[in-house]
Amino acid sequence: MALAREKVLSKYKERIGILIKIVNVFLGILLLTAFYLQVVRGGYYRDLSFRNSVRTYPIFASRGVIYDRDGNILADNYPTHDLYVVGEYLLDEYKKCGKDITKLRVYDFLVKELKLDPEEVRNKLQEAVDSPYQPVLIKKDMDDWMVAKVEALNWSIAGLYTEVGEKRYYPYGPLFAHVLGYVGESNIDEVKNYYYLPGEFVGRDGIEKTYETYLRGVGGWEQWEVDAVGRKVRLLRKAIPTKGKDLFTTLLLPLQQKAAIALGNRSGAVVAMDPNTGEIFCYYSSPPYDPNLFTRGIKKDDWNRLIDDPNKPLLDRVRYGLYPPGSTFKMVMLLAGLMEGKINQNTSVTCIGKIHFGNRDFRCWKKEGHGIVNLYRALVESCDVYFYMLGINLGVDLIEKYARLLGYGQKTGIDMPGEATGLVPNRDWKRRVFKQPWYPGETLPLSIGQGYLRVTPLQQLVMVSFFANGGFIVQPHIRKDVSPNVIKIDVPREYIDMIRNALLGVVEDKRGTAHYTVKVKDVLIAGKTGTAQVVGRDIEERYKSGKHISRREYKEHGWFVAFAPYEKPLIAVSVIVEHGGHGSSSAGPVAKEVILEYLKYKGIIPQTTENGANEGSVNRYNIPQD
Amino acid sequence: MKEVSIDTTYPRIDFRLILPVFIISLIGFVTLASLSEGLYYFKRQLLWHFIGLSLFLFNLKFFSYQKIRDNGLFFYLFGLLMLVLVLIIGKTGKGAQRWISLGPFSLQPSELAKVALVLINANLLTFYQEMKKIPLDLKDFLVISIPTILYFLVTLLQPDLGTALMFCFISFTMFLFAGIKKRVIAFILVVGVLTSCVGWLYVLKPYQKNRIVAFINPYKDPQGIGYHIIQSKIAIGSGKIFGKGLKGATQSKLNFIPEKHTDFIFASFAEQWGFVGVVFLLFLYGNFLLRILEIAKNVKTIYGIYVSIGIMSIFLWHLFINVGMNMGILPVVGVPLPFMSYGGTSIVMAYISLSILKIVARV
Repeated sequence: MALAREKVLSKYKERIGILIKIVNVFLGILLLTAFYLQVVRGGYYRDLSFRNSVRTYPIFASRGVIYDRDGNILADNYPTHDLYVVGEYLLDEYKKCGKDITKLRVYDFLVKELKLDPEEVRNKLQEAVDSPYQPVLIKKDMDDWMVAKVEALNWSIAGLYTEVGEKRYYPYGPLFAHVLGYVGESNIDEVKNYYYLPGEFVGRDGIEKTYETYLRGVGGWEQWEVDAVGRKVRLLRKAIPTKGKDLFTTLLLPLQQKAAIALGNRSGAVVAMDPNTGEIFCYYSSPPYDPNLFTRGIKKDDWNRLIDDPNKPLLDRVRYGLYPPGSTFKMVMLLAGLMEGKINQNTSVTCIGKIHFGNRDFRCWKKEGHGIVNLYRALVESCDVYFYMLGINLGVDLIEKYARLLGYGQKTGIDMPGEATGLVPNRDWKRRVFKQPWYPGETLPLSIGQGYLRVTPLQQLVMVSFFANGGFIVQPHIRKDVSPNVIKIDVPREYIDMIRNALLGVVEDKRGTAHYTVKVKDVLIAGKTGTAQVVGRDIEERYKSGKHISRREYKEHGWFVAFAPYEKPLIAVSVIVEHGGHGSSSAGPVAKEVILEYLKYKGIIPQTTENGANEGSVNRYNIPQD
Repeated sequence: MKEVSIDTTYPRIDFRLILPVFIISLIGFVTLASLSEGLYYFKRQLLWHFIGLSLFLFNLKFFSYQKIRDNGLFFYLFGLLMLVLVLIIGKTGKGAQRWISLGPFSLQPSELAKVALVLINANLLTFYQEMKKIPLDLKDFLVISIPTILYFLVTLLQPDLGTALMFCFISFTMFLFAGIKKRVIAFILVVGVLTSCVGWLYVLKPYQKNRIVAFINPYKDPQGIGYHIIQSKIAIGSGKIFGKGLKGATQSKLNFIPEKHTDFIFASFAEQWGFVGVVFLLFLYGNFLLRILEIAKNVKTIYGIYVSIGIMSIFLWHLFINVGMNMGILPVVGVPLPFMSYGGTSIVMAYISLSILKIVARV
């Protein structure tokens, strides 16, 4: 018995030997796994644990301020009061009221007192309760009365707090809408590809977009150690944000205001610059919109109102408005005629009110005719027949050449995020688009700036500046500290002087088309009226399809391009008034107002001169609105 | 008789057994103290160790080999009663009823039951050994498995799959050590696989299935069911070779590790001390287990061998399953790490097991 037990015991002792090996194998497995996790993959897991526990919170950099020429602030940053809720403080009440968000006192407060959208409030409070240590933004940019209510009542309502943020603010609202553009919050693509922080402002249009990198600044951040529920435990590191650079522009607040007042509620555009340097003084497109609407994400109905408005307030007519130049094109025609030797100062044409070409009559705007006209008279009185003849002489190819020479059909290069090229028709274009050859009859409307030709008010400004500065194509610019970019065009001075003289006649000559609407006694203004025909194919089609066409939609657009003072021009202006009728009565006075305002600003003419008369004249010549 | 009384009055201190236990406990204290702001867990753990150590000495003094051997059935039934009781009056935690509330403390009967199971198994195996029925054939194996199966089923009702399986592992280790016929082993394997399949389809609760799914592919749903595993692996791995130190252990300090005081204390420790610490800790556990086996080798009775192997297997399986699940090589089950995890019952039972070991060894 005892022997048998000894035998069994010794067998078991052998088995204990095996067990020792098994224990060692188990420990070995654990050790190897630990080695793999901690030594082989240690770096990887260290990195993961770092990302787990460290959260980086962005601090937005202030955007650069945009100033006008005199230091008036055009775009600024404005403190906002943002309302946050922290779910941690709501949890007790949330449990007590049976996990029903709508029974929370804070819900009542937000919906009844602050009049916030109940649906949105419910979702945000739910989010706050679900991640109780993460502040949830309830309302950005509270109105003053909201801030007052929160300040007055939040001692009694746990979990709410306000934080100061920043928003872009345009003190002049719609006045500089198109030229400044607006900002919006960065989208996913910009966050991913261009290192924007979520919610950071990005320039969306105008100067804000062109000089985005300049204005933007460098955002800062705070690195916090957070625990598993996201509560901030300890500040680890931080980087202070760098403010964006301030931008000075060449714009002039008084001129912009004058342009807006003069244009009133009519659609159109006013753009003015120094014809020698290209510094833009005034850049106004009407109707404008309020860029402040965009800074915190535009509301849907605001957006729809802008989109549905038949006057297209979002369209920047200075850069993107395309119109036939009408009679303002005639100075280009004269230059072409002189350069190509088709005419000289004394070349005369007899206008009987029409010209027969091909199988149809082409009319002059003056039915009874201008009689015998030379170069000067042709431009001053804007005789169409003279230019029909000149056009026939030149042909479409040469017209195109000089149109392009003066900047038509190409971008002006202004420091804006884009612009329309316009259209200078030629034989190739006709064949490509219409599958037809260029008919000689089409050269005649082209000669008086109608037909297919399309230009922007900005291109018109560059064109008229060419005559103002005596033969230079100027690149317009809005940022102040850039050097002017001008290209000399090789044109004999005497040709330019002939045309300039005629442009002066348009205003000063008793028979000039703009004499009664633009002439002032203090300064010599040179300019050219124009009337862009509107009854084009699209309106005709709409008429045929039975749509109601108001008289206003038929009415032509009025152009006026001008510069002053005549002897030594300091300002060039381009004005279009949509459906304003003849340029002399619609656009002319607007251009005059802007020119006078500028000359007063420069101290060239006294501040008080003709003040009353000017106001009166604008009203007198303004066309009544349909 | 006189010699025996001398032996019980002045027991020689077994340093090679007690020293690893003390150092492991010390490591546990440091880890617990470093994990939270207050010393709540630390102080209570200190109390558990004190109670455990007192019971250890008390048992050595007042319990004898014979008393333990004679009362095997009583211990077993007492354990069974507690396990049933916990189903009726138990406190619920993490979807299962595991604790019986005793004033400020809670008792976890399944910890008691592990030791009771070892004792009844030892009784039964000794009986079969004396009947010369070892190695066990199928019929005997089934009979001897009845206590284990009862515990298994009762615990499964809590439901606590981890502990239920732990009963099977402990018993099976003991039976295998004692000796089973080869075809019986094959039979057990087949039945085991079949039971797993049936269990997966009809028995397992969704949270238990989730844990197994999460174990197989933790990254499938990192915020949900795989969270425990991923965060624990990140904690251990991020310790690298030398650890992050007590202050820099962000995973555990900032609560990324779930159950950081109890089931996942190893992850907290590994994050703080790195691979060096893990090697040291496993070295201590290795010494401890090998010392138990050494004691078992010198045991003079067959019953004593069974008991000591059973106790060794309790510690071995706890260590392996707990550390394995911490490192993501085993599914997450509620199994504490001996002497380190915070928890009164498991600490006290560990000391009681050691006292039983010493008592059966001194005959």
